[in-house]
Amino acid sequence: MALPNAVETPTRVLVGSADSFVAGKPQMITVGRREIGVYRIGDAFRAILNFCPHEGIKICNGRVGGTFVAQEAGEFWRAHEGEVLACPWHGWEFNLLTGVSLHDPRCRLKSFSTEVHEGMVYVVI
Amino acid sequence: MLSTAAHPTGVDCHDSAKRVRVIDTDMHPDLPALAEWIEFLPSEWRDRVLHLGTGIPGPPWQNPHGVTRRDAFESDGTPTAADPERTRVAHLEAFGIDCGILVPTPGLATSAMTHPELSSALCTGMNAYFKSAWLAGRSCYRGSILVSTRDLEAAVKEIERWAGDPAFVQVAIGSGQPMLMGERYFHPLYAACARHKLPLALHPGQEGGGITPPPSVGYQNRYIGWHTCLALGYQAHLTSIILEGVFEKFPDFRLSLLEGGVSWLAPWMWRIDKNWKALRQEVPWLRQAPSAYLKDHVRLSTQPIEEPPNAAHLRQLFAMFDAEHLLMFSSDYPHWDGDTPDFALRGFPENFQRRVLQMNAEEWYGLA
Repeated sequence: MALPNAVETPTRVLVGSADSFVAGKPQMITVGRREIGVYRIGDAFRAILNFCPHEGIKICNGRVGGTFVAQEAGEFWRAHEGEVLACPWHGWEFNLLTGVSLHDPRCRLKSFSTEVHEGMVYVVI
Repeated sequence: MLSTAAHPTGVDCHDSAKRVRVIDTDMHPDLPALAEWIEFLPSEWRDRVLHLGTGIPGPPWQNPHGVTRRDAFESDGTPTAADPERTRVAHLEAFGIDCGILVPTPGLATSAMTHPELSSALCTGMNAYFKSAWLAGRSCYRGSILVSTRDLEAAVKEIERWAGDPAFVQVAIGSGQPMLMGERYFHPLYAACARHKLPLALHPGQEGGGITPPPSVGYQNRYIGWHTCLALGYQAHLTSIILEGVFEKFPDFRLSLLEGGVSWLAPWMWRIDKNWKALRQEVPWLRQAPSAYLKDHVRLSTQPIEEPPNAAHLRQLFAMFDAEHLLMFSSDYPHWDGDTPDFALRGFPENFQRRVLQMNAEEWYGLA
């Protein structure tokens, strides 16, 4: 995950062109002491602090994929494909679109707003 | 919060008078590709293993995330834990750990194999490999003598082979065993460990694989069920070992219970001691309450430490037994349910941290 050359303004940090994103692979930027991973999920962009709220692990090293959901015991429905980030250590799952964990709605990733202007993606700090 | 510079809460790693020497009592080096260690196997087994593989069984459950942490692989896909220097940087240096005790996972499952002689030969090869590749010339690691309980005569010989080598500080087997560990079948192993003043470490992970039963009644359908119940197997083994009088028969025998959970210990002590008061005549060789044997004979590693929603409850549980003297820190690197020194003991007093991170393991393994 190479760090693109981020051009910082008081409120927005350039990440790169929208076309340069690969599904499931974060583009990483560093703002001060904060590492931020920016993901493309379909047409949406999400920016998260590279920090798992469980033990502080660099969560952007985790795998992005889907998960299973069920209405009843014994069901396995594949869901949220490409939207779920799993911590590389303990496997805690987070929905990248909302930042919320799949096991406890009170447990969230630290997220930042993103903007797209003329095909370029920015994180708003 | 991870830290590469500071030791756990309240302890200054730069002040030599206050510095905690962190000992990680459970880390898992990987074997490299077979071609890189086959020469350490007894020669008569090399051809078979090259053509058929080791035949070491795994448990019939899959962790959906994989057992090894996703960030513990190199860019070429090789496990970081297959290289001692990369492991030193990625784990020991990164988390301020001074000494790691190696418990190679493949060796733990040899007791689950059908083939007694091959299982013993694999242990011999792995011990020689880890001595050569990891332990020789590196004071930051200590080793475990791997043995298979499928052939106890060979296991005792393997202990005799390495017992005088200070690089090895214990004997290790999997807690996945064909029978409860108080059985007299195992006593020659305990005698050898006691004779050489080496603790015997139990480590889970094989239960239900090969010829071993699962850790509780029946086979769980999911990895989560199997993993949750691993602590039940530990309770059964510890109950059996104490009740069969192993610590009376071998007063110098010591047991390291690795990765089996710790919060079950207090209610287990209350239950077995209550039963003993009424049923003592079944085990008349016990000269004290069952739980009293823990102090001199048993230590438990902390990982995977329980995480109650209210962290104060863990401190209360640890006040219900002598956690300050019975527990030793462990990380389980590079596995998915690992702990770091600062996370595992957050919120505990400095004296408690120093005992669990350093002193208990120093005393237990003679590392002071």
